[in-house]
Amino acid sequence: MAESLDHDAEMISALKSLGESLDASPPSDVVSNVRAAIDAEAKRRRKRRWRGAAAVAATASTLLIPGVRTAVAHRFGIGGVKVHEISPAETVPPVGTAFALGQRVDLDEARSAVDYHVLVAPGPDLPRPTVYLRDNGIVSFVYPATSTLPPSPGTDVGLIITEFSGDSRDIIEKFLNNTTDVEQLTVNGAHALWITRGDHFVFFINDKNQDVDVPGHIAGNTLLWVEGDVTIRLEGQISQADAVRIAESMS
Amino acid sequence: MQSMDRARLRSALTRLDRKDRDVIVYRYLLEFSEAETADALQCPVGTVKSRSSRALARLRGTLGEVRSDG
Repeated sequence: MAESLDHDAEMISALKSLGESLDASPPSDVVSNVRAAIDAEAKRRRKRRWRGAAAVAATASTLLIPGVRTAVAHRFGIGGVKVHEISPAETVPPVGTAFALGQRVDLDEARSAVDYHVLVAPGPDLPRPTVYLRDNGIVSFVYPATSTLPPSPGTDVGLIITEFSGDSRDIIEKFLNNTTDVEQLTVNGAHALWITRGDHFVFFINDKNQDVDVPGHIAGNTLLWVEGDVTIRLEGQISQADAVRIAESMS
Repeated sequence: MQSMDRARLRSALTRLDRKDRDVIVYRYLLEFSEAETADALQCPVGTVKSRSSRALARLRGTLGEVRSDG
C-alpha cells in the first residue's frame, strides 16, 4: 500500500479514504457542514454553529474564520492526540454542568476495565479523588477543591485528570485561535503541552481507528502529555509548576 | 486503506507547509471542487490547480520521509 501512494491517482484515493474515515464521528456529514459554512461565509459571514466537529472539519472551519486563519497550523510531534482550538461559535458543555465522565467506579475497577496502566497522582498534596470510567476507556479522576487547590469557576472541582490510550503513531496537532496560549515543555522528559486560556478539546485514535473527542471539562489551565502508551490531561486552576510537579509524581 | 498507511498519510500531511496542506485538505479530503476550494482559500481557480499539483508532489516526497523515519 505504501508504495502505491507514489502514484498521484492512488495517493488522491488514499486522501479521500482518509477524509471519509475522519468524517465517521458526529456530526455525520462533515463535508456538508463545511460547505454550508463556506456558503455562509459568502453571505456575509453569518454566524456558524458546529458541534463536536471531526478533525478535518475543524481544520477547514478554523481556516474560514477571519483572525483565526493566520494562527492555524502550529504542530507538535508527540503522542496519539490532536489538540484542537474550538471557535466561540462551537458548543461546549457549560462549565460544571456536563462533565460526562461516565460511571463512577473505584480505582481497581477502572484498572481492570482498560488495557493500559492507569496512573495515579499520590497524596498528601491532593485530596482523595472520585474515579470515573467511560465506555470508550477514558478514566477520569476528579479532585475536590481545597485551600490549596482552587475551584474551577462555577464548580467545586479543583482538578480533573483524564487518561486514555492513544495511538502513538499519530501526531499532536494544535489549532490555535487568538485566545489560547500553548507552551511546549516536558514531563518526566517527555514532550508536553501547557495550554492556558481558551477552550479546547482533544482527539485520540481508539483501537477501532476512530477519532474520539475528549472535550475539556473545566475552565482553567491544562497540561497534556504522553506517558508510554497513555495520554494524560490535567485540568485545573493551578500553576504550571504545580501541574508539572503533580504530573511527574504520578505512578 | 490500512490504519498504518492512514497514520503515515496524516503524519505526512502535518509536515506540509500551510498552503500545501490547506489545498490538499479541501480538494481531496473534503472533496471540494476547484471552484469551492478557490472560494475557501480566496485565490483564483488557476492557483488552486497549480497549488494542488505542487502540494501532491510535496506530499509524495514527505511520505518518503515519513517511511524513512518510521
